[in-house]
Amino acid sequence: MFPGDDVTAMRPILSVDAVTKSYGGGAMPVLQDARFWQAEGEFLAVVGPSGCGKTTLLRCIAGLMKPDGGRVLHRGVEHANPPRWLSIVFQDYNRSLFPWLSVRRNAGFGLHNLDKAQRERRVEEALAAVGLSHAAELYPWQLSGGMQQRTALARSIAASPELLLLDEPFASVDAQTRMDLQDLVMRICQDMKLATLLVTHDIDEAVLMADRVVVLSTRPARVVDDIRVPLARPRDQLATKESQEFLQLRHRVFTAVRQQVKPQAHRP
Amino acid sequence: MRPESLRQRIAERAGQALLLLTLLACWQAAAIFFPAPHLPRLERIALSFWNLVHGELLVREVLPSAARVGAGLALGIVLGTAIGLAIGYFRALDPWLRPVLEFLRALPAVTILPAALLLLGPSDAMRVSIIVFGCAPPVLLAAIDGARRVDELLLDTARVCGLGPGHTVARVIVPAALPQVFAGIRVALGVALIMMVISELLAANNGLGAFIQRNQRLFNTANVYAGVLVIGVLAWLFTAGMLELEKRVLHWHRGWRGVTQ
Repeated sequence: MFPGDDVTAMRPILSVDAVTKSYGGGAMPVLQDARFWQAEGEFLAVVGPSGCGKTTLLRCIAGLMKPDGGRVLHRGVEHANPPRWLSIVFQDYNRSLFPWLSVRRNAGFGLHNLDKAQRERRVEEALAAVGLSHAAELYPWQLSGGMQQRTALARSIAASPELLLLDEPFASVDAQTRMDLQDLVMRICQDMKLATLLVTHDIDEAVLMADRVVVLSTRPARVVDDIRVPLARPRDQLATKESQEFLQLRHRVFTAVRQQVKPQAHRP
Repeated sequence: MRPESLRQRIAERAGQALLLLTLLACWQAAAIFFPAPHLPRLERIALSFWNLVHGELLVREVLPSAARVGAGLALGIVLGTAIGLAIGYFRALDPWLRPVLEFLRALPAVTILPAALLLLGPSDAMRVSIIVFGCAPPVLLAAIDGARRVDELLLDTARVCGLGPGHTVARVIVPAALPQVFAGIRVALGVALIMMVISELLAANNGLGAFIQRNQRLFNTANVYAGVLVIGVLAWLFTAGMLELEKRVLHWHRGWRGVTQ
């Protein structure tokens, strides 16, 4: 079963409803009437040309930024400020981890509302899930980039969110680490049946990981395409990427993104 | 840490000892061949020093000075850090306060001493106050800088993790600003010692500054130099203690800085 088969049967965990945002008092429109929805447990990827406003969209969804117009709804309810039911992994892992805290304490950072025993259990589970149990007492600067990003991931899942936002989380690591992290995230999200929204500029990554790919236009960004990715899970870096289905979907997403880029390239 | 062989280390220590002994020998030779009241022999200075660091003189002259520096420094650090972090956090305050802060930074703190003497009299309150007055500004300015340079992404992370303003200050802003605050404290430490000595030279009946002053008037120069030595030792102790504290509190910072820069 794939989400999108029957929209009315799903209560979207997230709906982005005509969100508009501009900087500089309207001088620079970034998002224009962006609208899409995400079903329970769905892995959604948002792709678009670089600089199109993907991160702005994600910040509006997270409540870190207030849209100028439109609404972001969680199960039909509007929210302000970052709500507790979502967590984020940022691209810059070395800026989003607290350098004065060990891996264990970084992972437990958002759990101040829990009692100690609960907190410790959650942290242990999260560290085990990302494979960092052995490095719990190390500090971020003692870790490789991939391990730092896994720490950030552990912090996000330890909060047991309903929605996981990933802002280009694999953009700053080397290719091998990127694939490992992609596999890890796919496994975790599948195991936890966690609704995940991945913002990326990497089309292969979007098609490999997501159940659905939403394509944004160039600035001001709006949704220009919404492509289902009915590839079987678990997905494999080699087998899935070599399959005919994958290549066709990749072609489709690629074309959709390229159509957005082209007119800009011919601008005088 | 630069790698050092044992031999290098011994050679370094020997060189240091040699230089010290040469300086002492020069002094002693000068004291023997050109006898003058302002050039007491080493054994007389050593005796004065020993008298000063134990027994009655320790309690009467050294401990009060140390206590004033300690109290003034502690108050100055707490005040400077608290106000500085608040100003740095509420960025809107900064443009309003900037001229006053720049004035305080530029003003040599000792100039306030005569006014403080009029206001508070020759009391311990006055002496501690001017130490606070001298060492709060560098800490305060460092704390503003530290709080303002906290990475936006860390603040976003704190928001996403559901931290309120109080928690954000305690768990993000304070630890992130501490490296800067400690840099300010190192400056403040020097200022605190200067303020202590000057306030005691000018208006005190005990403490090391007063001890030096009194013995200078009595031409008891061995005591004068012994007083200088004890102040040096005191300064060294405070600095060493502060560095030890810094090493413990900022143990994460050295490695982190090494990797990111």
